[in-house]
Amino acid sequence: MRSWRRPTDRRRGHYPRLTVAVQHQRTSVGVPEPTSGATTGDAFDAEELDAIAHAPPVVAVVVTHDPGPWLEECLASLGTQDYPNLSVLVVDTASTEDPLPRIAATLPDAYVRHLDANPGFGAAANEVLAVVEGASFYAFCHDDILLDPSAIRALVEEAFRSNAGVVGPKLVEWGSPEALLQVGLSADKTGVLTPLVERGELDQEQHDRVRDVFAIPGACTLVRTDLFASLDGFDPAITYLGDDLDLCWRAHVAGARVVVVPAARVQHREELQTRRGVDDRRRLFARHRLRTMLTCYGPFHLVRVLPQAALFTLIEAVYALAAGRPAQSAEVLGAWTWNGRRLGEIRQRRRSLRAVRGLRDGEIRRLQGRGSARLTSFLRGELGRGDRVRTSLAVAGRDLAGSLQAGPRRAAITACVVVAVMVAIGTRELVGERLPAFANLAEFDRGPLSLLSEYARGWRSAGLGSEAPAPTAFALLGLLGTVLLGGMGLLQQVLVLGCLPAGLVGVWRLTRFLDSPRARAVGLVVYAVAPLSYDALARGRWDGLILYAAAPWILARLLTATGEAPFDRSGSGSDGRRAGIGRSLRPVLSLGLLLAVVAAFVPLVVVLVPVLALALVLGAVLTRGGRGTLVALAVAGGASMVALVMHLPWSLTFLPGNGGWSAMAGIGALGGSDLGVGELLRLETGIESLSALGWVVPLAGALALFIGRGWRLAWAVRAWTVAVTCWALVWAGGRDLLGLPMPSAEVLVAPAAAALALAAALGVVAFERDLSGYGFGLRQVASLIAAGGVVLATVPVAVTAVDGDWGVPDSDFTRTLSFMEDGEVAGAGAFRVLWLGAPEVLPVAGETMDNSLAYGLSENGPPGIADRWASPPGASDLVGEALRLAADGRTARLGRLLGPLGIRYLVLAERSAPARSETAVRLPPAGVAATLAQQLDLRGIDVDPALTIYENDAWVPERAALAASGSADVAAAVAATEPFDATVGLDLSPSSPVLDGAASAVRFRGDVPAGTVYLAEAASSRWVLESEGEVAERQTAFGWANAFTVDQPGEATLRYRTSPLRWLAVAGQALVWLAMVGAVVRFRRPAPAARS
Amino acid sequence: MKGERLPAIVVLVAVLAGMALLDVADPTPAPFGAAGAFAMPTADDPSSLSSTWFCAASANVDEGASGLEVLVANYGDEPRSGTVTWMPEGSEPVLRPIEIPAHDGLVLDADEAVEAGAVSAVVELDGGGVAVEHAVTAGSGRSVAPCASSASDRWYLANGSTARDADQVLVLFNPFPADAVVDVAFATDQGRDQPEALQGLPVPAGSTTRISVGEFVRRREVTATTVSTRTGRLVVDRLQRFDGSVGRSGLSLALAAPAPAEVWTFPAGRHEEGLVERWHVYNPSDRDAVVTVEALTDSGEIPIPVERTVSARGQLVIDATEAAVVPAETAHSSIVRSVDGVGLVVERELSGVAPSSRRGWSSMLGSPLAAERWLLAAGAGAGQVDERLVVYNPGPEPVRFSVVAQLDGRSVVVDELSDVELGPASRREVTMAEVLDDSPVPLSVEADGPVVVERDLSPAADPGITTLLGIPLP
Repeated sequence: MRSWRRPTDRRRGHYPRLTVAVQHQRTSVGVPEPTSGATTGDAFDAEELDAIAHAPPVVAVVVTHDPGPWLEECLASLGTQDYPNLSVLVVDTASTEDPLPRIAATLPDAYVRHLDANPGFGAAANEVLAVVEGASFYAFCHDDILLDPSAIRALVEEAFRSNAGVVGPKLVEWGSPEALLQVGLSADKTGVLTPLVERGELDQEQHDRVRDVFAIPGACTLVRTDLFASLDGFDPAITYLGDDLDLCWRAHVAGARVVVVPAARVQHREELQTRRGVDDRRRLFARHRLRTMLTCYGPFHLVRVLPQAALFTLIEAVYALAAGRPAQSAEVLGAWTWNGRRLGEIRQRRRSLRAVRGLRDGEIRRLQGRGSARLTSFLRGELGRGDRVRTSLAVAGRDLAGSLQAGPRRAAITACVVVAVMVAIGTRELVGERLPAFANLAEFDRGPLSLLSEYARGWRSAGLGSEAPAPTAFALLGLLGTVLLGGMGLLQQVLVLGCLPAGLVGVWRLTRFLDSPRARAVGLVVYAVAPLSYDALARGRWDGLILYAAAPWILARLLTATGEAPFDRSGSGSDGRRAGIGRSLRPVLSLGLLLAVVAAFVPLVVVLVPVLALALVLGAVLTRGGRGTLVALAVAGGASMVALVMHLPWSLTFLPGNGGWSAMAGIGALGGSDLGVGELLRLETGIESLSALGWVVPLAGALALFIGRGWRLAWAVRAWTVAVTCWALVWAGGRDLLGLPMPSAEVLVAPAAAALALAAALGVVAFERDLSGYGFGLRQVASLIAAGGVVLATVPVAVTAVDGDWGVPDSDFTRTLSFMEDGEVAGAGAFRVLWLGAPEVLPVAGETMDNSLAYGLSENGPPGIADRWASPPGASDLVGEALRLAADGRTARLGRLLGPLGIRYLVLAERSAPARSETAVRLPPAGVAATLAQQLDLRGIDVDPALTIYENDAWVPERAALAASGSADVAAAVAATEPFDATVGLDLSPSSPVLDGAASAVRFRGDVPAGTVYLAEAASSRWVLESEGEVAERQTAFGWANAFTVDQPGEATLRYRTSPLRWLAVAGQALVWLAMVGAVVRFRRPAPAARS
Repeated sequence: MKGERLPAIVVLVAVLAGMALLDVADPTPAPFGAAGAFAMPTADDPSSLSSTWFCAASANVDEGASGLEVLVANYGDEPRSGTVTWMPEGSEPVLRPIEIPAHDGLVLDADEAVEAGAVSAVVELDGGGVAVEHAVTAGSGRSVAPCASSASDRWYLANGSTARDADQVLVLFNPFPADAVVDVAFATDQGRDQPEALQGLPVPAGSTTRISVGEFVRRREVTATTVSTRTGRLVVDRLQRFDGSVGRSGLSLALAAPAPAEVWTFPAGRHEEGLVERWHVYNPSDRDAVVTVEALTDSGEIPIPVERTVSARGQLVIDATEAAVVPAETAHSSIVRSVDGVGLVVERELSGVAPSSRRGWSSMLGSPLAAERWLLAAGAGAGQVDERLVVYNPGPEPVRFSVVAQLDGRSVVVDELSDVELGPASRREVTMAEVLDDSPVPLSVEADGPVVVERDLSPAADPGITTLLGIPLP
């Protein structure tokens, strides 16, 4: 076994030198004869022959495929090499047009080998092993390089001098040799390559020293032939991209040095992608990197590094999903499945490599870069640039290095770190802990299958039950929960706490068009110190958090849709992306998909976004320009329509009569809010306050209005118009001037915050560009105050962060109401809980009465995630009618009215969390407590001062054998069509529970007696009761529910038969979503023309 | 650029300034229904789904007899059915179905249903348009008072006595399925008193608790009372008896007031030799209150209003004679008004001894409301009861009213009292024996403007004074 030692190896002097043989006249079998005109060895004079005799033979292997016009230059540069013993072998990989004439014309003494197919660079280059003998070095070349005349000689000389196995040149731009491309590559432990020079950096010989590197870029690589043979050449499974890393890594494993020789200069056109026609570089890099890692590491290091690689992959995949790049997510994840299918090959290659291993992994790790290059680029926000991964890595490296020197970048890095640390510290007590379920922050108490089932089966159990379509969110949550293997708690953490970083990343991207690190930093800080996000957490407003996360992304898409500077670089129109209908549809579909995802949880967004776009138009009117905003308005309208279509049939519940506005806006959590203009300007919606420093936020945002010029001023005005519009909505909605229930303040303030962050960033750009145009005055002073204020504004938020929970209550009503889940209570039959209170504190969706009292229902205890979406009107309205009757003093038997609805407990909430929490008190309207206290069949239960709980003495189990006290005629009452007339004088409390064996929410089993079996669900003929094999006759009970006449007592089954139409709707909606995601991915991918 | 900047800034600032300047809206939500606005017993509209009445007091005649009668009158066009639940002291409730034909009345005798010295009742009917009153009969006489149409967590009484000849009983009735805990406080002519034994007093669910006030607050000529609950709701009656040892005698039943009010109206009134008329003003608030007593005489004379100050949490007695509010031997109406917005509770006491023809004792709360329709469930009986009806128009516009009797399932307007005109701030007193036969029938007064109606049901021959307001149907 031969081995190749590192330079430090004391035995390096034993490196075997090869016998030199002149190869000009002899080629292996199969190599075609040189084309006509090719010179032969007889052309050499004696001096040359002497030089040749002393120069180790080198074979330059040029792999071509449909070469462009540069081929001649490439070959010519090889022909003019001053190295005396160089042969050229051109391996053509089934080019469409035979390049032979071109080769013959340029380099007549080159050898040409044709392949019938294109196996990829590595496999083609490996042909040299079969056709060449006696060479000392192979120089593997792309066909789009241009070598300096001394390049090969410099490489060979250094190979001998350094005793290196692999040697590479300095790569510079084709036609601009002063611009560096690469001078060797570094790699981290997972094989992510990092350039060692800044791409495009001016070559001032600053990197001109020979040094060991981890990999040589594949454009031109000199490899010792014996090393190459021992390594079995390139990995043939690595078609393109990553072959260089693989070869060099294995060379390291074999103990060979890998050295870059800047004295050898090669120009590189980088035309690979142009000819391949598809942009799969990220996918190939990911696959091949993982394959190389699996091949090269020994078992011990593989166990160590592989989980880290998996973690980095997961982070990138999640980030890519969050960033709206599902293709990227699929590609990085797909690398694992791709390699999983090739484990056999990989094992074989590991065995082969083990045979030549000369270095331990520990020594190789010292050659690799520390940390994770991928993570570094991820943190810098560069990872997602799709087809520019390699470039972005270079940019990342450049930025990282530059940031240490350049003030603006240092400020940006500092801002990112400060914000990230602040959010991390402020959230630390919540991470990994169960989030309290309060207000709009429902507990994820259902498993993924349960949610998927409720989505698909066609019966919604919320409220009093209905056949209305289930929210799409059930399917999304179910699918996400499935991906997390049922980890619904983790899913809740991601979906709730993840909103904070998602919003911050979003605002970072929103400001990326401004080309100012300082501006991005200020925008980020302004958005981070906005109290609304922390208020949303502390007040349990998940909807507000979601909008906080989504608003910057939505705003970014609206702004890019305008196509106006500086937001005209998004790729929607001018950068050569997919043309035609795709270019027109892309912004609509992209925004539509985003809105669809957000609308699944906050449906109002489909209305809010067109309003924001309209505000942009108004802002444009104020600045007398901006036709692009009309495009944005059209895009917003189209995207909302797309989102609505994607939510069909659930979105039909938004229609008047089906639920209408309240189905979108909820129960009016904004009702009664008295946020003043000052609080709105400071983006304060509740608990958290920046005190006087809060004014810094609008001040920073206003800077651009006063010092901006050109597009800085125009966009600042539009951003402010958006913000003022949002504030006006909150202001008017909180004072009931709109006549409509409105969602929580955070939902409407979040877009204002994003707009204000943008305005603040614009202010910085204006400071950088426009301020110099003014004489010294107030503008300068204001700028300095704003800049200092932004820094100071982080202080109170940082102080708040110290607690680590952003003021989120440390408990919820789950424990308070645990008595509802006691065996004795639960054994009495299934029941409902009626929640009453101000909309802001109610933990369940429902209805709002005309005096700001909201109510909603939950089943068998506190509400869960499925109760977060409003049940459609219908039977559930009966609750409101009963409450109105009691409120008007028209009955003192509210319990009897609610009893047949299965309502056992009434909970009047004054706070969203237990009294010992610091959540605000929101008293229900005057008279509610008095109304309930007046009822003769409601029994008060003392549990927590935040709640007034009554137990209904007249309740009827949801599934019950009906019975009444006294001699009341139950059958006649059941047949009545007016529910309350029938039940107000009827005491049904003697009814007993039946069918308590619940196989699912729509299937129950158990014994039933003869008589009337009652089901307190909205009337539907799809409910079927079979007792002892006999189907019981069903009738509508009390005008709204179901009653079955059981003639055969015994074992019975009650089930809901799902309509075939429902299955069709589910399939249709799934197809629509898949099609939409596919279309967005397709339109995001650059067209071939663009890639060139 | 200035041309673009300025208009934009002006518009944005104007919008924000507009929001700031117009920020005067009160976000306080509207009250939820009318249930919380219970000021005095009121009848439900006939369209109501159900109606419920709470009758607290009984006379505790002896161990087996309560002396309680419940008087139910149906003013609607539909018969009503429902239940009366007798809740005797110390035993389980007894539920009885009841049926009341349209335009008819029903007398429910507790002693026929349960054997108990003390019993309360809940009357539940399957609709509105019903008025319920209750009467107690004991050896010293008979008294009638409205039942409560709602329970409350606060009850107030401005009068009461624990003098040597007096026996005052507070009846605390908890008709609900959960226990109530109450505090009782008194404002007496000798200062405030909060007996420790009456703080945190439990009133079990579905039970009646009787408090003999004299055991806790001894020998007080006047006791104004506040009953407040810590949890739960109640109905509170006062039963006041005088044994005649110092002249006063008789039995008086009164439903307490669930809330203070600023204006209290008493349609009837009179003082003469032997007949004392007093206004008891109780200020349960934490602020001193200034009150005026205004009177309106049949002669048209308008005396100068008397003004007094009632200390916070204190009570005040204004004697018609001492203050010369009204001339003696002149029938009149009176209004006690808080002039500074402090809520008060006001009772008017009539105490008669010889030589007055009216002998006995009565103290009733005024009316904080005026309504177009008043129901008088106890009806009229010209033989044993010298019923007099007083209709008072407190408004500035004339009104026309009629008295309607519920006779034989029909609603019949009393001929002599049909479409009677009543001028602004004027009153009309009618002796019912002059217009109706002996048989007691439920009455109602229907007017085209807000009026207040008071009855005097004092026995024609025996001692005793019973005065009470009608039950308004808002």
